[in-house]
Parts: sequence; structure tokens; C-alpha cells
Amino acid sequence: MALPESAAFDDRLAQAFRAGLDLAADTDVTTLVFGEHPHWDSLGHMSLVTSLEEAFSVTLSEEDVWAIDSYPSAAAVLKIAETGRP
Amino acid sequence: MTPKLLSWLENPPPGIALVDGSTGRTWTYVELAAAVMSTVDMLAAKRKSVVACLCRPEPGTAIGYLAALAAGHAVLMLDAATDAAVLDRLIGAYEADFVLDRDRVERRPSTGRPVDEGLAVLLGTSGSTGTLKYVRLSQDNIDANARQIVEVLGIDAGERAVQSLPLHYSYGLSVLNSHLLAGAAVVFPGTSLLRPKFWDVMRDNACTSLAGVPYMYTMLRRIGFERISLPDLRTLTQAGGRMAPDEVLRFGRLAADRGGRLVVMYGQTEATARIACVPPERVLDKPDRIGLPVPQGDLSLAADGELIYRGPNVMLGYAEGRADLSAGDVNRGTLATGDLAEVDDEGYYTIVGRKKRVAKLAGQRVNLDELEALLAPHGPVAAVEVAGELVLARAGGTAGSDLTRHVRELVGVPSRFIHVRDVGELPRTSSGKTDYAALTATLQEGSQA
Repeated sequence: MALPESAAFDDRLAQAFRAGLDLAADTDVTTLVFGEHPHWDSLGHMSLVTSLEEAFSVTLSEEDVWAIDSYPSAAAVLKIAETGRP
Repeated sequence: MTPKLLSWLENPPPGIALVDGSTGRTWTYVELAAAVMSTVDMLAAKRKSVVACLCRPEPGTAIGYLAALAAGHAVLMLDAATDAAVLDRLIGAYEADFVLDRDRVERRPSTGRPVDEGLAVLLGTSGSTGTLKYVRLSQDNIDANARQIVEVLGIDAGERAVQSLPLHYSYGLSVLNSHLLAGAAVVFPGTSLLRPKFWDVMRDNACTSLAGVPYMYTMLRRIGFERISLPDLRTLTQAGGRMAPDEVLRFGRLAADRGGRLVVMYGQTEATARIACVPPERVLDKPDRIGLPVPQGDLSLAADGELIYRGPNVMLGYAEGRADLSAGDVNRGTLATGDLAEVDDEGYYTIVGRKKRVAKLAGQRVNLDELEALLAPHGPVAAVEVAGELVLARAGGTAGSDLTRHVRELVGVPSRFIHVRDVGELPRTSSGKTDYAALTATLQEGSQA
């Protein structure tokens, strides 16, 4: 994948994390892990999933909801959801 | 006198009492009794004291709570995840003599102000808004409600509940209390129900029941709960706010198909936990009801339709600090619930409205008047609940996005549930108070447009 597209992907993903988990603009989202930030609890996770679905215009499956537990795992899930390939 | 809830301290039944799902460690009743008594030794005091218990979703918190009860003190249940400044304010207001964090005990300089002999537990009424208002519950309240729940759910020593709700929350605490009274077991999952490990713990420990607030059932639907194999699960309980009848039917059928049951219940912290229950065999034909009163309880309607509960589990009264802890039984067994209700020809009650200004946001109870008072420095703001979401009507003052962020931290729910709407002016009644009926009508109109 070309670099500009990838940068756009990361931007959208970071933005969706900030919106879904109510994080300040300067938060480093790439190190976030489920349960380790006070906003990323069960309620926050539901909000994050909705935010990711809106940002990427996708419907995440039940397995996706399970699989997302960090920024990298969300990136992996959304790359597949969006492009159909890893 | 030893509370009935603690009778196993002297006569431990056979079997397991607590399981830590994270580590796999178990406590038999004999081992639990020993762990509780060793913490009791650290809580020795000349007079009845206040123990602030920092609640974490771990067996250590249960042991600490039980030790404070066994020592005969009053235990103030605090969410350990609360902002440190808020915790300090609460510990200060109640002049806690001890702060208990699992098996760590910190002794504080005692003011020695008297505590009513009957007082056992102090539970919060509102999420994490930092309000000092707590509910005063007696040993008799705790014992009575645990007994009522054991009877209504038919809990026996073979049951194993997953402790899916926090211990500082009345519904969560009632799961622990009722199972210990029955000589049954409670399993701490050590993780969120949105993590696969939660379900592994439930399956591996043969959990028979799961308690949830309405929003947890929304989560269960989202993760495909119906496809998770849980061979031992028989009972789903639901309380903590009204669940949509469609959702009640969905989970009622699902439970029935698996040979289990969904038990819809209604309660308030002011009644220790549970007030009413829909017999599971009627849940599919009465999915919008709160049901019949629990045993030894009585429901009736006041002239204005307010639901009135009488029973042995009604709180002694409220408190806002240490000075209130010497007060005795103010409520005397009667609770005006603040909910408006109707009753059908079979005696089943339905909640049709709310008299008290309380919102339920994703399972969190938020006192709207208290929230408004906290927001007063941000300019004229009125808080109302519209369709399960919090709407802040703002007439100038702090910018909407800042207000949302601030309220998010106060109530602890994602900002998705919080909406700020600009109104030119807040509508007033003829006596100059905020006209919430008019405001809600305007906001509902706006949300439909």
C-alpha cells in the first residue's frame, strides 16, 4: 500500500480512538490497551467500536469486537474490514 | 450479635466460597473465615468505628468488607477507581477511622464521634459525581434483603455466581451477600465481560448465574452471547434500571431455550438492593413489568401514583457525613421510591415515570439536581434525561465541548451518552424554578427533527 494512504489510515484510526475513548488531542493512542486506561473500560469499548465503525464505514463482527484490545489489534481488524485483506 | 450473613464464621459449610478468576485461587468457607478473622484483628478499636473500604473487583475486597462487618464496624463502600481528591473528601467527611484496601489497613486519627449500633453499611446513591450522600443500611437490612433474594431466586449451596458487578454498587453487593448467606460460591472474573477470558472463567468454574444491568445486556447482544457455550449457566438476573421489553423477551427466550431463566428485578440502594421481581415463568407475557414485591415486602401506590415500598430491607436513612451516623432509623421501614407506577389485575407493577430527578445512563445512576449544582460555576445549565441519554441545556457559560468533557469525568460514562444543547434561555415556572417538563418537551421535539 502506498505511503500517503497508510498515513491517512493511521490518522483516521487515531482520530477514531480519541473520539471513541474521549481522549485529548495530544494523547498517544498507539500504546493504549483495553483496561489500562480509565476510559477504556467496558462502556468505553462499546463507544470505541461505534466510533471505529463510523470512521471506517464498516460493520464490525462479534469476533472483531473481541479481537480489538489494543491500538495494533484495532489496526489489524480494520485493515481487513476495510480492504478485505491484511 | 453476629449478622446471619456471617454465620459461616462459626459454622463454615463445606465447599468453596470465593474464587479469583485471574489467579485460579479459591477460598473454602473455612479458609474464608480464617482470612476474615485475620483482617478483623487489624480492625480492633475501643468503640464502633467507620471503615472506608476501597472496592476493587477482587476477592480481597470481599474479605475486607466481611472483616469490617465481623468487627462490628460500619463500612463505607468506595469505588477504588474514584479520583483521589474525591476519595479524600469522602473519607474526611465520614471521619473514617480505618481505610481498608484489600488486606492493607490504614488507621487514621480517630475523632471518636459516635456511630449508631445498628449501622452496618454505607452505600453511594449516585455514580462518581463526588456527592457525599450515602444510604445508611443496618445489619438487619443486609440480612433481610439477602434472605429475600435467596428465597426469590431459590439460591442453594450448589450455586456459583459470577461477580460481574462492583461491590460498591448495591446490586453487585447483593450478589455476594445472598450467595454467602446460602453457603454458595462467588467467582470474581478479573476482567470485563467484553474479554474472552471472562467467559473462559465462567465456563471453567461452572458458573450458574450472571447478573447484569440493561446496558450489559446490550453488550451481550453485541458480542454474540447466544453463541457462547456455558453449559452450567441457568440464571440471568437483570436489574439496575428499566430494560426495553424487546430485550427482555430476547433474553427471556434465550434463557428458556437453554433450560434456564431470566429474572427481571427492580430495586433501589435505599432498599438495600432488591424490591420486586418478575417470576421467571411470567417474564415472556409480562416483559414490561417490575413484578411482585419480594417476600416480607409490600408495594402500594400513593395518591399521585408514586410507588411506595415497605419491608425489612428499607434503609435507616441517608447520611452526608459523620454527624449523621449516630441517627437511628428515620425511614422506619417505608420508602417512597420516587418512581411512578401502575398495577395490573394480578398485582404486577409497571414503572411508568419518575418523580425524582434521577437519570440512568448506561447503568449509572446520576442525580440530576446534584449534577446541576456541580455545574453551576459553568453558567446556566439544566440537566435532563432524554431517551436514556443525558442532555445538558446550556444558556451561555462554558463552551459545549468543555462542558461535555467535564461531565464525562464527573459521571464516568462515554461522551456518546452526553449531549449539550444550546438554548437561548432556560424555561421557568411561575415560581421561578427551572421548568423541566417544558424543557424536556422542547428537547424531545429537537431530537426528533
